[in-house]
Amino acid sequence: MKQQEFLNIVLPFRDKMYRLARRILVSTDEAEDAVQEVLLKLWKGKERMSNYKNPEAFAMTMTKNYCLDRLKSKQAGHLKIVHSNYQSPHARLQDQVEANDGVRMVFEIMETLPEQQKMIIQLRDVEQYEFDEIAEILDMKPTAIRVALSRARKAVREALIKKYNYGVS
Amino acid sequence: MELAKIESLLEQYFEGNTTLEQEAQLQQYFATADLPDHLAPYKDLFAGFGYMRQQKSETEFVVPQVKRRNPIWGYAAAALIGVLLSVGVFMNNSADDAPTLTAEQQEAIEAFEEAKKALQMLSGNLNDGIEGMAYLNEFDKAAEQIFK
Repeated sequence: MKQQEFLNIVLPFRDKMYRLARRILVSTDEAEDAVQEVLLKLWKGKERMSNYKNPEAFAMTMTKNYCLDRLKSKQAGHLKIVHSNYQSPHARLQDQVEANDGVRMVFEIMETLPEQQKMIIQLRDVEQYEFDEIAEILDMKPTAIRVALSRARKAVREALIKKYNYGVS
Repeated sequence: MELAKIESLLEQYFEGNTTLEQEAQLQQYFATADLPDHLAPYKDLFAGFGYMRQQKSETEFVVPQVKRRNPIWGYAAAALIGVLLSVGVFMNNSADDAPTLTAEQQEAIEAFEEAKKALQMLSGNLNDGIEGMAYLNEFDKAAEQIFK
């Protein structure tokens, strides 16, 4: 497979990989690194790529797995503590300066969700994948995804309304 | 879209029962409509998803290049190996020559010594013979006297 052929396949969903990575890892730098790593792995295994029915779902699954692994090793290495101690949530939102406080709250709430709920909301409400595609990416049954999605959306709603009632910070 | 329909759609949304099309309708509605207070949080919710969708990776992926070496290095390496080999062989030869001889070489030296002895014996006998020929001179003298 030629470079250009490879890039033509991966570029359309590269940003989706990045956003999923960013949702899981929170840090923009780490999300960029994750995308590079996963693309490199895809490039090395490019001969097999034409065998996959859906390269995008495959790439998203790899991104998910890579990020969850990163998260695990980060937690093992205490890096997470450093992260949450010294970086305010607002610092991570530099690229959303134009967003209002309500939108910021949505970002913050998303960060507090468990990983699985984060990923499902990301894939459905942000990337607008069909349930079948999400099922393929996360290796879950579509019915289980529906249930988890409902739970995640309700968790976001509850937190959001609570914040609203306390007044927009 | 009337409010009642939106509210029921929203209810379905939180149950995870809406289609992508219905979710797009909700998104559009909350992006544009003038909303009653109790729906205000949902405007932020859908706007938030919209912002998240705009985030883009800023690092370009560069396909790693397989480095193709200049062929001259190949020739240089081959030449170097050749030189090293010949030096090695030469050193080996000069170092090992004297002390260790093959059986064949030793046999050859022995044969040489034997041949030398044999030749010396032969030349010794030959010398004896030549001494004996001194008598012939007497014969020559006598012959001169007669044929003068």
